[in-house]
Amino acid sequence: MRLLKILKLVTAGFALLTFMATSPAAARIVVDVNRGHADPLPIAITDLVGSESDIVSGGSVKNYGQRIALVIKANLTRSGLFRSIDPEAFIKSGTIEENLRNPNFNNWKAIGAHALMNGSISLQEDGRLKVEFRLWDVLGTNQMTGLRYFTSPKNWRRIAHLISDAIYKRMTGESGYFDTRVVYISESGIATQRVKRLAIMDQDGHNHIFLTNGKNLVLTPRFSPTAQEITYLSYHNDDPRVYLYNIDSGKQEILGDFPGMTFAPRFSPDGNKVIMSQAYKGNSDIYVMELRTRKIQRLTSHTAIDTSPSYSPDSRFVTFNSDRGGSQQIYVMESSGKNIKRISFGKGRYSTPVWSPRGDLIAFTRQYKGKFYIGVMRPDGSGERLLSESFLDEGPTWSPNGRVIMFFRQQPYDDKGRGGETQLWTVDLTGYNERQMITPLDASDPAWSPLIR
Amino acid sequence: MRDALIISLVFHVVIITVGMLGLPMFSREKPTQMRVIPVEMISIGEVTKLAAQQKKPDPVTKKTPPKKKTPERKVEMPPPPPKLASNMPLPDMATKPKKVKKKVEPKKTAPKMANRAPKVTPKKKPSRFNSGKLSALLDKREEAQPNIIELLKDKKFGEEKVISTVDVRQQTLSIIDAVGQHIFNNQCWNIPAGAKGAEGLVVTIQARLSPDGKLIGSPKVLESRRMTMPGQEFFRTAAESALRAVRKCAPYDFLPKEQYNLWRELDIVFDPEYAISG
Repeated sequence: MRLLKILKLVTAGFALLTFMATSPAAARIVVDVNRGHADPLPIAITDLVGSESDIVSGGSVKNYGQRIALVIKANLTRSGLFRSIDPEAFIKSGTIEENLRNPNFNNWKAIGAHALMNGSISLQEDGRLKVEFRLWDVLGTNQMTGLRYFTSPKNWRRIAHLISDAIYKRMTGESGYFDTRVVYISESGIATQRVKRLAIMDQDGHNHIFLTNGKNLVLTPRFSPTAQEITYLSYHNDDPRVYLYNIDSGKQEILGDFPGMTFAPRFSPDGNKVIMSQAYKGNSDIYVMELRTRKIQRLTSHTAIDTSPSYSPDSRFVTFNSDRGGSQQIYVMESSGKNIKRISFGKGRYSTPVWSPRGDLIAFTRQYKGKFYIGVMRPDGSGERLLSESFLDEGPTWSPNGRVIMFFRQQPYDDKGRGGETQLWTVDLTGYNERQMITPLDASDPAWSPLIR
Repeated sequence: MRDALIISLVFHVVIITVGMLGLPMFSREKPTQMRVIPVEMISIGEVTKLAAQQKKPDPVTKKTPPKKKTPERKVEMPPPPPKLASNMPLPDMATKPKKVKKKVEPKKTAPKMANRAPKVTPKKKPSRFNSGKLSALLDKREEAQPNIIELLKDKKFGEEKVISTVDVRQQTLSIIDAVGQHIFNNQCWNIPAGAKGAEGLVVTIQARLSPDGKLIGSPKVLESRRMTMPGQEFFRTAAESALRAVRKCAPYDFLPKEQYNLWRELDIVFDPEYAISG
């Protein structure tokens, strides 16, 4: 009984307290900030500190440290989200060791840096390089991340890309896309006799390799989202066929022999299926093939042309384009082929829909009044935004983090038949950061790889 | 006896700790009341002047135009000064004034009434004030004891009203606008552009300022737990960009020193949604 009484009293006390607590207002002023600047974040990237006397094939260790820093700067700058501060502005003080472990933040703040990357590189006894870096929050005066890598000197570029990805991820909250590759169709020769070869390069254009010799026409390469494997279309005995190509082993195989023509292949998100168009008896529909069992399932059956299928990252939906409504438009259906809905309603023609790896957008090519645009819209068709515009922009492909789109752009021909050059371009989701990729020859139909593992 | 002792001890301890720690923790949501701003553009004009002319000129300019008004209010205010002080953002004061309020209820009612009809031009207010006071006084005399319900009502009204006193409101607005403009004009906030789900990335930074506008300690992120949760990397990015903005824009020495009690603690809300689409 006593206990009960005490309990009652105590609860009453608390009730009173809460009443007292909520009644008076210790008001704080609330400032709403909803305008800001979308400028690139200023970051200071210092050369990795290394010994000048240690020589590896291709230069001193110190030299490798400088080259790695250069690649990181180029990567981050190209993303449009960072601005690398000119090393000329760096204020020098203290010893190297001090600066690595405990940088003088006031010096970095003074030159406007929000973030600082520093690190070191050294040669191990086994001939490998040890690369360490730290990322510092200059205004918050603390370390944001720090990692260490071991690698053979010839892989120094990959280390630079991995560090770039780590910085990008820590600063943006999103995984990076620098440790990736791009396959594309390299083109050469006059317009009537184009030689088209499959080629692959790092995301920044380096380490360029031709994968095919150009004897057979190659089209629409697509990366597997899970492995270093490509599917593409090649003409075999004058028949277009879908092929699989393993980049590491160089092994190439034909993906089934279909009664009709197969084209526009693309992997499912788990890499176990290929979805594609098949034209049979004058009608194109969408099919999906299980890679292990080679079982084929038909998803659409309509008299119109259905093509360019692309899975959503959760595999539940497929977007494709079709002219069933009279003109080429973008549709979304369940991956079983049910519930087909049109999502594009703007003027002109829409084609080549590609679902973003992060799922929130679908990229497409739009053709209107003699111009081509690369744009994005949400999977329900809302929020359409055009990111690029030219005489001919086509073939969007997403960076694995869904922030950047690569496509190809063709220049118009002049009266004398000159022009017509095609090049690869990238544009990010803001639409402001458009950049050209450098390739040895003309280039078209790019496909972005997942992050290399 | 023992029980009674224990109980009274517990009560005393609880009340004393509350008194010492203050109650601001419980009243986080209150600020929204202050953000409901149906107010005239005049105050913003003052602010921009403030920002442009800096500290010393500001108080002068401020004082000159409102001179006519201030005397009136001063005349009105003398009775309720304790209320004003209590309702002001000073967290430490909060507890003590409560007790005072109960005893001095009639005075509170007067300011409440004044605020209830605040949309009318200030000149009209004085008359209502008086009537309110009178009625309040009358109430007291007639029914001193049984008015508990009324008292409770009064308390609630009193809080809201006192906060929205025109002067405080204008000053508050000035401060809000000045800080917002300062952060924008000095390009302190670099928006984390293009993040997926930007709508959910509103970040509130709580900053404590010294009288000369410098940050005391490091500013804190509301819901800072989210920063370390897996899958909340975008929030962390947004929070860090907001923290950088608050730090980069310090010191906030343009804020009027005489109103230090208003801005010694600031909640700065960073909302990337509009910032990105705009």
